[in-house]
Amino acid sequence: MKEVLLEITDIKYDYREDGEVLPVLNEINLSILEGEFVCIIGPSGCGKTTLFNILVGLERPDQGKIILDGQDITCTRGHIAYMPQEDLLFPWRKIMDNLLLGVEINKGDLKAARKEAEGLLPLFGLEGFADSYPDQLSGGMRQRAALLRTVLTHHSILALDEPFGALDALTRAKMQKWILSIQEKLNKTILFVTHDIEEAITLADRVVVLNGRPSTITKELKVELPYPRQKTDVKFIEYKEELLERLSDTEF
Amino acid sequence: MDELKEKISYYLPVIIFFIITLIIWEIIVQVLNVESWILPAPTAIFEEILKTRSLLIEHSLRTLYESIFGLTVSAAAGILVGTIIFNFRILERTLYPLLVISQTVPIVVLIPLLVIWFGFGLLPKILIVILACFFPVAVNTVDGLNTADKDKVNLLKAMGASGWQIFSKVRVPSALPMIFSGLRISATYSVMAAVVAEWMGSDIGLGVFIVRSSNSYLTARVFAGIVLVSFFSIILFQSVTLLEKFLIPWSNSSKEESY
Ligand SMILES: Nc1ncnc2c1ncn2[C@@H]1O[C@H](COP(=O)(O)OP(=O)(O)O)[C@@H](O)[C@H]1O
Ligand SMILES: [Mg+2]
Repeated sequence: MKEVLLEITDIKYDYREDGEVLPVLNEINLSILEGEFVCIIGPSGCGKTTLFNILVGLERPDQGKIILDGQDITCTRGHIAYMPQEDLLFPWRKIMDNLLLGVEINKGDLKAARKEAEGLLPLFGLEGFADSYPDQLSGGMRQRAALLRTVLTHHSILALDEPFGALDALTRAKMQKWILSIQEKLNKTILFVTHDIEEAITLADRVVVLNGRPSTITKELKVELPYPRQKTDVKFIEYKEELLERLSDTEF
Repeated sequence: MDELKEKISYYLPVIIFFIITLIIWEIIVQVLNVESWILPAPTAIFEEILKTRSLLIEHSLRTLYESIFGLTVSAAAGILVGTIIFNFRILERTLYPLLVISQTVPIVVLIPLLVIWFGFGLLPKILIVILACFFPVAVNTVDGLNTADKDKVNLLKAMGASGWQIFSKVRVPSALPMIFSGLRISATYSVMAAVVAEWMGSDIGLGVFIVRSSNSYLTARVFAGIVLVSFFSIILFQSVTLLEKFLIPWSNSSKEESY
């Protein structure tokens, strides 16, 4: 029996701007098991990024708690490895120095981290690029570099916000295969935001649908298909229709 | 090697244009027999530079000293003051606007005042250079520090970074390109400011050299002085550009596509 690693309890969040209140999230409850791959899916603007910002301590929820390993981490930072929507590699740092950013911030052992990063470069398809600047890399490579930077922060949970959103279909498919292979090797718990239903079903142990106004979790779907998953599989198509229905009927 | 070729082909049009202008100038002067005190031919100016070189070097050294010293102080002070203004919001609303307003006072009108207060020596010249060069650096430092990408700042925050870490790891590197564009503007101002300051009262420097030559109708010498002033301006400008290439290597790396 796997243990609950992260608990999101009763999160509520309103955007406030010039006295106007825009309710974004309401009654968000979600438990994530250790080693689980959870995809959060929802229309754009539904608050997926906002939820992640709350998770990593960048935003303060109006209500609710984030519990990691039994410890309340609401509004505190540096517990969850966060990969924002854009790769946000620093153009003035060579790839290796970008990878070590998190370790640098936490004043960790840079020498050991460098060694570890070097060991992981091939797995992330970045061998030979340690001394390149981000500008010299393709989109897929940049994304993998950003992911490696996230992994190297050594947190057990990776929160990835639409990591493959900006990639072309072919690169995207490769990256999906690849992320499954590294999850197995690195033994991480992954929270993965996407607005692509097929991507969610291809990757996740569990798909969580976030929508409504304000958004709340309207469906949780356990994907019981062995990897690698085929888009043409009957079960896959059933899942897809189930999610599609749920996503479209609460739009208005 | 390819880089050199690229550079040459980039600058070729301006070089050709420049040479053609000189040739036309030379021909007009020769054909129309223009008096040399009205407009000397380029060759005459060149001869004048060779002839008066020891005098020119003496005056140039002084002007260069004033400009480089003034520029260096402006760079250091500009970056420092810009950083302080950025870090204290209250200063951004008090000192910063004053700094901008101060730029509406033409520097030329300050020269007599500085002469009254500090005499005809080196100090007022350097002060004029600083007055001209400080502002672009200070303002661009403030603006540059403000350009830092909010998402990058947030990424560091999420990692648990301190204020100082955010400043040094994101804000400063993001600001460098703008700081350097301020420095480049200042570099072009610096020689001119020194010359103008000398103009108003000095015993040495290219400014005085030009004024004296002009008073004696030695027009070829005036042009010789002008040639050196622009030459030094270009040198200072290029030095800043070179320093920028050295300090911001990431901005000139090229793309390489691969999965
Ligand atoms: N800075 C902001 N000011 C006001 N409203 C915002 C701001 N950022 C996001 N929002 C609103 O919050 C909602 C959720 O945004 P976001 O979390 O970015 O959505 P998603 O990541 O799911 O596309 C959107 O409706 C958006 O309009
Ligand atoms: Mg988003």
